[in-house]
Amino acid sequence: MTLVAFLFYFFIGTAALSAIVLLFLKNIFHAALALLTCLLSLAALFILLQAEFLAVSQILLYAGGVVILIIFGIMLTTKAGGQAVPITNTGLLPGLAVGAGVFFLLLFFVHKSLFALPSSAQETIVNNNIERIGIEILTDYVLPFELAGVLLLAVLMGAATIAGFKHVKN
Amino acid sequence: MSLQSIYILSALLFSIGLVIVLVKRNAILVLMGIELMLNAANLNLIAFNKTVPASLDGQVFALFVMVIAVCETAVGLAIILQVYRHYHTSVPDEINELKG
Amino acid sequence: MSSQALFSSLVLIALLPLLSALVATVIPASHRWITPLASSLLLALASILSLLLSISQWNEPTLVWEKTWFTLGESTVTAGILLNNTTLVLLSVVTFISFMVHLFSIGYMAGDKGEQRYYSILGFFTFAMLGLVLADNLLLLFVFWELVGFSSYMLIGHWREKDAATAAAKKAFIINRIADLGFIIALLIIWGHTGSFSLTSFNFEEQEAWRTGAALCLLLAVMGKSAQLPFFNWLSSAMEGPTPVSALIHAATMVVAGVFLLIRVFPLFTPLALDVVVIIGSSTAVLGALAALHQFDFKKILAYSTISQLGLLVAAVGTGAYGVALLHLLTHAFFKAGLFLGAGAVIHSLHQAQHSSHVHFDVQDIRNLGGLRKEMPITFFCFSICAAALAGLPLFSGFQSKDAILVSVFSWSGDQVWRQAFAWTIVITSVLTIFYTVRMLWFVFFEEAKKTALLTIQEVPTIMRIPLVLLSLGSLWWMVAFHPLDFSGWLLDSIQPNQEHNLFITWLSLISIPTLTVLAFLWFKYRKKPTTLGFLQEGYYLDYLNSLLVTKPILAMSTVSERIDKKGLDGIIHGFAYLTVGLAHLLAWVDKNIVDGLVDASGRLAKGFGSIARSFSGGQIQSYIFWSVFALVISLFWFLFY
Repeated sequence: MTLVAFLFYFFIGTAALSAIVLLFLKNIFHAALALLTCLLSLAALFILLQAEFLAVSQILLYAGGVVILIIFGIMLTTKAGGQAVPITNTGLLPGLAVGAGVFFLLLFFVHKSLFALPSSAQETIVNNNIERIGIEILTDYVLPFELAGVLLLAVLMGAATIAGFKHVKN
Repeated sequence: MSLQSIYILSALLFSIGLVIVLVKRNAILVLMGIELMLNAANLNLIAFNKTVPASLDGQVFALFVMVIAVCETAVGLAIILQVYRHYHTSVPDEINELKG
Repeated sequence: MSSQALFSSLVLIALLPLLSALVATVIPASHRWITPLASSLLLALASILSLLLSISQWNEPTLVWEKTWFTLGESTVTAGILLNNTTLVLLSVVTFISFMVHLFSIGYMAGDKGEQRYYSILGFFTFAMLGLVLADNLLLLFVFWELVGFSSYMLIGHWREKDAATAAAKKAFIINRIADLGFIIALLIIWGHTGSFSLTSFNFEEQEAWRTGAALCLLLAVMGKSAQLPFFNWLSSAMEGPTPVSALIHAATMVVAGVFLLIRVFPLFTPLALDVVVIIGSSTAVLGALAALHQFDFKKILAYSTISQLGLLVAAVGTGAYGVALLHLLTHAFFKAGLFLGAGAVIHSLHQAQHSSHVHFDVQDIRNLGGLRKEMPITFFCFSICAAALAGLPLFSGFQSKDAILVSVFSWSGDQVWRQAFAWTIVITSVLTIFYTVRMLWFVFFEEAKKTALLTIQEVPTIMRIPLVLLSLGSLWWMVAFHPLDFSGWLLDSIQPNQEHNLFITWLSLISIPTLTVLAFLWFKYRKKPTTLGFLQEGYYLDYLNSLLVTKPILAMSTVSERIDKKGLDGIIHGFAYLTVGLAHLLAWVDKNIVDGLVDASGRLAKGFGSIARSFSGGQIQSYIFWSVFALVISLFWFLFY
């Protein structure tokens, strides 16, 4: 087993493990940390799948943005000074059953290759993916790119407005 | 290093995300579940992209998914904060305004 | 004019109102006085452009521009503009009436909180209506059809703080959506059978049943939009919106979109479907007219009158005379918009007067009004011209178009009895129209001033008088033809030439309509206070006629029937009563012991099912998600493994 292959399966393992742990944790702060682990492992997998730009974005956006945001959210919604409220589940067994059903179905699709998924990667000759992705975004995908900019602006204002709105008791 | 294992990981992450969305009694955790599901989809997109090296469509798609997921988290958290202020809880079960 | 220039000017006409909507949205609140002026200016431009265009393109061959809109697999859907005489008429009417309403709104909506929102939606509505008129296929037409519905919703609910307004807006929206289901089904049928959304050719390959089905489904949509029989109640509650809006949307333009659609897709309708159209139209016409006769709200009288006139339009299309329907659509747009704006002028000036004198009453209730002809002479003059056109007096446009409708209805009915019954319904409607018009005019302008006497009323400002005068000029006979008694003028000769004439009907209405109008006037004049002023003779005479023709026969009939009732029938009835009581005791026993038991059991069963069903909609989002995912998983398993 080469080092690359070892890393590949190692990160698959950490991603899967942290996701499973996330499902059963009782402390919401620990859950956020498990999510962070999972997302970082995914970033590592992105590098191994030759999506370096996405890996960097993953770390910046998720690890640096979303998880921090979630942790702030946890701090703001926990009762001040008190112990963190333990997470409880509702309808765990039916939920797990449905989840298992979905998992089974997805595995079935993968196994039967219903959507004609090639199982092995073709070797990429081009190694400068970051440059190519930049060109793609500013040529073929320039409209969605600009729209994403508008969306981000709208979200910025919208989130600020919603979160800043004070409920007035009358 | 077969892509098969990536697909299986993605299926697992998606199912776990779904279960979290279904069973957890905390809105923030539900949001985390949604993030997990989106990441599973992203992983799939990137893996599919490996099979067609001539094109980078999959990665670009994943990028847009990521951007939109971030937007969704921001707005979602803002709403959770506001709901928390209003109802003093972040347990979705206790908010049943939709009750018909 | 070259084809390209024509196309660009059409697009320009359609986009000018949209520009007006945009301007009204972006102007900052500190400069809001610009909004009405800018909007009116843009609309004036659009109106002048479309009038010029109509004059230059009149009677030119039909022009179509189309571009590929989108492609689904093998089939391509196009979008484009269809220009013929019908389009030109509607184009000019919509832009002109919209311009008039914009002008009127400058005065009417001055100082309103949502003024800018009002102008932006008004502009948007005009844009959508023009799009509907220009669209060259059913799918594009449907898009604009929904857009006009949406803007109607926004404008009815313009005064959001009024509960009645929001409820009326919702009602209009929901009823229209239900009816629009018919449009969607019709689209599906037409696409499935002909593979195109064309407005002109319908290649159904001998499948007459499907063709009739598609036509009836489209009729359903028309019944919603044009407020026909089962759906017409939304229009009367839509009067909660601002009055200029009622003039534009709920009288002159949007509600006739249904009739316009019928005219556009006329080739689709089979004889059977056309008969249904006539039945719906004529029943709506007579019911609307009857309802108008019993209203006391100024605007609701006009609303029911609109419903009744729309019924006439639909019936006219059903008889095959779509040109006649278009003619009446044109004349109706002018005089009904004039009537609504006149009503708006009355309401506006009374509101102003109430503000200065602090006396408050419902200004829309015609029982509170009266004697306004002295205080508001110009409004009164214009209003009566439009009312005369509505009643169908000779020398006014309504006479010619109604004459044309009557002629076409009677030529449609021929010798068939049931058809003649519906034709007579139309005649009754025309008579009722005269009565409710006179009643409205009498209560508002003629009768002795009642609560209005407490106010000092002034005529409305000049900017509101201009549209009134222009619209009443448009209600005169020359709109139809230069000959005041002939309906085949510039419009009918170009749209559907060679309409047959029926001199008997024309002469009869020429004599009977003025007579009936005078009679109606006298009726309303002497109904309540028969012994006043110097016209005693005539008043008694009318009362006598009234009692001789109506009251006395009815009284006599009731006396006779009372006698029969007492002497003959009572004995039989008593016998029946004893029999019934005996039977009832028997039934009571059965009821208590057998039927009640069953009912209780079914009640318990229903309760059990109910509690199961209730658990599905507990208002908890996660359980909703759970059940939908569950259903998805189960169905996927089913598809994959069975």
